[in-house]
Amino acid sequence: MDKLISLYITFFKIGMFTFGGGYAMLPLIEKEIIERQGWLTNTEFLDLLVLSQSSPGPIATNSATFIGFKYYGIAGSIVATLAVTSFSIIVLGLFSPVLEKYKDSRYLRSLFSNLRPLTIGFILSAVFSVSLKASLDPMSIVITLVSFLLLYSGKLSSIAAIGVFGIIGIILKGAI
Amino acid sequence: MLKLLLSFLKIGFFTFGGGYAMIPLIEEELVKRQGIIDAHDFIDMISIAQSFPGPIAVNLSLLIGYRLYGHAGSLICCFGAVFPSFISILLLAWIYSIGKNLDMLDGFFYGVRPVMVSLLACSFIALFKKMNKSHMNIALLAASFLLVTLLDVNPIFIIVAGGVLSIWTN
Repeated sequence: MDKLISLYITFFKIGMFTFGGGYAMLPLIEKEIIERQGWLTNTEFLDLLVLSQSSPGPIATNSATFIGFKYYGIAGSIVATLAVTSFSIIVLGLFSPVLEKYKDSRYLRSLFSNLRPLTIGFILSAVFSVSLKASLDPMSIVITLVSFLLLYSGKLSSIAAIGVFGIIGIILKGAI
Repeated sequence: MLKLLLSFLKIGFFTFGGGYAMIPLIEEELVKRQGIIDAHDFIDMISIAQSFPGPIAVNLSLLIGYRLYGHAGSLICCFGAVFPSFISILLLAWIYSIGKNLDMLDGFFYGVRPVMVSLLACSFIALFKKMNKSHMNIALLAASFLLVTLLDVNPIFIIVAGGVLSIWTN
């Protein structure tokens, strides 16, 4: 029970402080889940990203479901997913009538839009920490560069890139 | 309401690559095909969903559900948006946990891990291009990057400090 409660509190906090989409929450996951709780290793953190990308759904809830499952099975996955969406449900679901009244308030809008550059900064730090966590052998570096060019030029979608480089990885490791 | 639930389950199931990918699907289904959400309202909802904390897809589904059927509607849409990915991740997490020592899976992750770096970099570039590049914004971006990366400051403190600063300067 204690484990489920700490899982809930951790993901409630993550949901509450996630501004600007799932990628912006990655430094938060690193801080709270890897450093503070030790629920994931660095490699598992990368694998979590891979799995969240390969599945439908928001990155934020996907990460919660995965980490919850890993830590405490199906009960853990339910608790973590509920926790990461709780704050949104409270604010946008239950208090929607109040929100409708204030949604055009410049004050509120400017408060949140001022946070945007901060969250873009978070994504930049995620780029750095994820590249440090990825293995630095020559082949991985080549894959990083080639996939970047293909994704950036729009020649491959993210899901196609996962398929293509997954197969390349399997061939490189001689697993076929 | 059942129809709305089914629409969101469908949208939730076909949204790959995060919450932003859900926006065009919702637009297609609810704004264009079924016409139950006004196009102007929809743009408004997107901007609220993006500026409030929490996953964008979750926020958007809650707002749409509330607009159409009140509190019950918001919970139903949120459930529909999250449930398909919940099942899918559970399945993937299970395969991951039992297949950790399989060479195939190992090779797959070996090939795909570096792609994550590229994906994040692309996402950063796209957001940076869209950002209003005032001196203040650049300074905030640089500060949050340096504080998190070099000084290992908890992002929560940075968000709180940013909020306080924003209220204070207003």
